Amino acid sequence: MKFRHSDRDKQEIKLDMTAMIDVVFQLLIFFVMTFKTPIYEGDFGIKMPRASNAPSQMTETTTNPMLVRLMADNEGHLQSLNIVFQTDSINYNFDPNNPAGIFRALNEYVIGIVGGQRTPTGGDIEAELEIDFQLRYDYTVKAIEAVSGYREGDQVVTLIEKINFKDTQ
Amino acid sequence: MRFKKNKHKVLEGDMTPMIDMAFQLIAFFMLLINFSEIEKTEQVNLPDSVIAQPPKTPPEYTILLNMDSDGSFLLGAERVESLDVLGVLLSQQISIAARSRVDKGNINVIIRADRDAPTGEVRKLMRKCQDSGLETFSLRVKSQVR
Repeated sequence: MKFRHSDRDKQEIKLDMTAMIDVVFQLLIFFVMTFKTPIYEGDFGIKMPRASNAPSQMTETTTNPMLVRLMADNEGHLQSLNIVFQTDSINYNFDPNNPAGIFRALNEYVIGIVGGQRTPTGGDIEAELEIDFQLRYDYTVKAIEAVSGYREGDQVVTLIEKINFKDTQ
Repeated sequence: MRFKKNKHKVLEGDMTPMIDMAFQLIAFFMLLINFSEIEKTEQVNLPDSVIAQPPKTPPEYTILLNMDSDGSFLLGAERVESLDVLGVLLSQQISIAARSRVDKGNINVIIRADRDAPTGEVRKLMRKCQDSGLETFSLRVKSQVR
């Protein structure tokens, strides 16, 4: 039997890569354009049952409520901060040149109390925030942060865990 | 004098390394793409915090509420017109959670409010959740902790 050796067998089969490369680059462009650098998010946990549903949960265990009032101006910026705790009633005014100062003062006051001089443990204290309706949420978070704790190196020191909102009308 | 005849050949570069690289880049971006980001609306500019940390254990069931700077709000990625509608939607969510045997008290309401939103509007949202029997809230912030 005779086999025919054609020249075609010796030829290299070349695939046309153009279409695939086009698709690959389109995919690459899609992913590059939709890529977003991840933003780390954290939480402030608040346990706040409806007063009528669970009347005793907060009040029974809490012996030392600390009232923190945040007053806002017409534009929603913080105007002043007032702390009422036991016999203390302290006022701080917001300084636009030093916006963090008012929260540092609040944080230092809480450290002074939870530090052991005034109460046996910080866990017994509940912070109640009374906040003006129009106050920008950023100030509220800053106040929660100042009351909740502070950062010492890599560690977060917790001050007051029980935080509640007092309704204003 | 003899001249060499130049044969006209088509010069083809080796595309293999480039295609390899392109595939590796695609794989990289595919792995990094986070579809849960879809729920985080673009217009919410969260306040910063240096002490807030991500939860150590993921909650059993979460309800995500986003609030824009003007006080309008979304349940997940769905815009909600009024607090009454939100109440209905919350009841639905609670029923879904109950089917998965998650108690109301273990449902975590995550509030992602814009830094310029009025605090009173955030409180209204929280009160509506409280009316539905929800009591565990997470106020979400942009964490500076790494």
